[in-house]
Amino acid sequence: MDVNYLIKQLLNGLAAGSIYALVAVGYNMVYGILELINFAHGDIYMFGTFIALALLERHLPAPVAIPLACLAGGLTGMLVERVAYRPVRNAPRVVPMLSAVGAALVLRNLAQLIWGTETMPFPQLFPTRMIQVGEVQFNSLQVIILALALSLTGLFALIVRRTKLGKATRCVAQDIPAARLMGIEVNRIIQFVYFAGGFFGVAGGVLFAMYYAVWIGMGFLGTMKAWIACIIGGIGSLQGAFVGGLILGVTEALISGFVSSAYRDAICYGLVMLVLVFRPMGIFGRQVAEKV
Amino acid sequence: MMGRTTLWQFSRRFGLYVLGAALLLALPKMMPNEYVFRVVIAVIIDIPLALAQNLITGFTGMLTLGQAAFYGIGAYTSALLVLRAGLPWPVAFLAAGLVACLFGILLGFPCLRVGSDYLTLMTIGFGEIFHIVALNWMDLTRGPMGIPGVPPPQIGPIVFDTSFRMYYLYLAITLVCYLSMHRLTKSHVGRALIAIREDETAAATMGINVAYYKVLAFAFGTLWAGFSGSMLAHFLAFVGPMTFTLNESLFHMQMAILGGLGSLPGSVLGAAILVSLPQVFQPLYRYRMLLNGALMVMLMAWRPQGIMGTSAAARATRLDLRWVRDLVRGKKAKGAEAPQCLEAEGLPGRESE
Repeated sequence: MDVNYLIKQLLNGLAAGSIYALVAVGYNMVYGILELINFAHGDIYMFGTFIALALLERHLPAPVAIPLACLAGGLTGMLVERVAYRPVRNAPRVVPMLSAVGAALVLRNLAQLIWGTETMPFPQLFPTRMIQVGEVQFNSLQVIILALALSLTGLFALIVRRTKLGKATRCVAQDIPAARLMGIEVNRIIQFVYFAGGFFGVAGGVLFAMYYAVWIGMGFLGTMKAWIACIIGGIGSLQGAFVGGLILGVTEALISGFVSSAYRDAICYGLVMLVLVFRPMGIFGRQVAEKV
Repeated sequence: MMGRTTLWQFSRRFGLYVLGAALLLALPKMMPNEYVFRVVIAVIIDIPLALAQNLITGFTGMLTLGQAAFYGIGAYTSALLVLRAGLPWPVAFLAAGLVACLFGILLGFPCLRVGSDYLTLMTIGFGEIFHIVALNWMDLTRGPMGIPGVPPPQIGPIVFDTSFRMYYLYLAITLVCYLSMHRLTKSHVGRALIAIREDETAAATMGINVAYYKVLAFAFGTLWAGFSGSMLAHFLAFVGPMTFTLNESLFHMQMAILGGLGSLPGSVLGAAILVSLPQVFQPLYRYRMLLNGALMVMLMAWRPQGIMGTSAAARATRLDLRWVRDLVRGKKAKGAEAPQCLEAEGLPGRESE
């Protein structure tokens, strides 16, 4: 076996994985706080990525267009929370989950009506040069994506760890009634979490689009990848989601490089199902009592 | 169980059954054209799917989103056995259900080990795996090209090649499905399933073998999804992978929810409404899935028990609707998620405003 080929696959995996990680970080925040599977998460970031594409096509400079799109993604997240989740937050788990599926369907089909079903290329905002290190060749885009994903996740972690807002968020994640008693406005914090999830999701979506392309299906794909990353990394943990995303990306790259690219996703799902059978609470997850 | 039934009650019930049977038998004569007839048959094919999802989710409380895979397994099994192996239709039909059921049991066992969210993920994962395999296993499924030319059902010399004949055959199958679901859910098995849905721990404490009944619900639900898949294959004369996606699984769930989780007549109604509505509102066809999603969100907010949901299922999905009242009165919606004990006055924070 060729070592250089292996290294190349690993790099591919790290680049894809860091995008998954960025999407998963926002996803895991919501998961950790409300224990709610956010089926609409992927479709929110897909929606935001399409907005970014539309803005760029209107010749807005990228430094303006991308933050605007991220903002739009965050606002979409807040809107979805207000309309589809808050009214059913107290209901049994099945109800908010299905409400989320409904919201996802609305977003996906709205995007389809506006932008159609074709796969579209995304403008390259960064230089894509081949870099040669020794025998190994890789793309500069991969390095930039990895660096950007790392720094954005770092920024997010900093907000959660160091700011007052982040402290309140962690309180809400621990215990909602107690947080309310401490004078924390729970609804506002939850809205912030959805905003942040959408914001960082779109950032990940733009990177994803530059690396692959833009199409409607990337939303559902993103939801599933983020979910799997969270299960690997542990529910509610930021580092866990990041590491889980990287592991997922590398595993996928190795499967498509050495086994079969057509069956890549099938094998991945199979692996995750196997993992769940033997570690029902995730690979790094702790035993958490189900919120009833 | 039934108590004493008066003659009047009995005759009224009996009369209703006779009326219903007469209506179902005479329905083909009332069809204005072939197109409407085919929509009616499509409804009949989808009713077992709604019932199966209802059994698994509505009665047993397992949120699975992979029923399309079993539907697809049934369709492919039936089509391949008739076309490649040259088996007669009744054998292929039975095999379709049994193969789907076998996969259902195989998936059911690992699903016992995982918590509720992961169960959903496992079933979605299984659905995706099925879809990918159906797309890529060219030798067996012909991949995206699908399998055309599936012959109509045939029992001995009788070929069910017209809508008229197919209607009665499929109606009979669906009736068997409904009656078996009815018997099952009204029996001690049904009570065990409901007990598991309401509280798994309590059910286990009462001596209910939770694992057995969960796998049983899985097996029965996937069996009927497989039968339904076979009906579809011989109805459309074609099987292709694009029919059996996550959207299809979501559609099964929507049929069960719209009608009402825990209500069998509700599932029939849900299938009838969701299959025929897009045909009735053809101009809105482009917005079908959009409206479907919006309907789902609204249904969850206002009537999570569906149109005909049972009171028990309604209690299990009880909701706080105070925010609607507040919205109507123009007040700031507050405390929709606050437990009762926190509604005391004078606490710090927004609650004291």
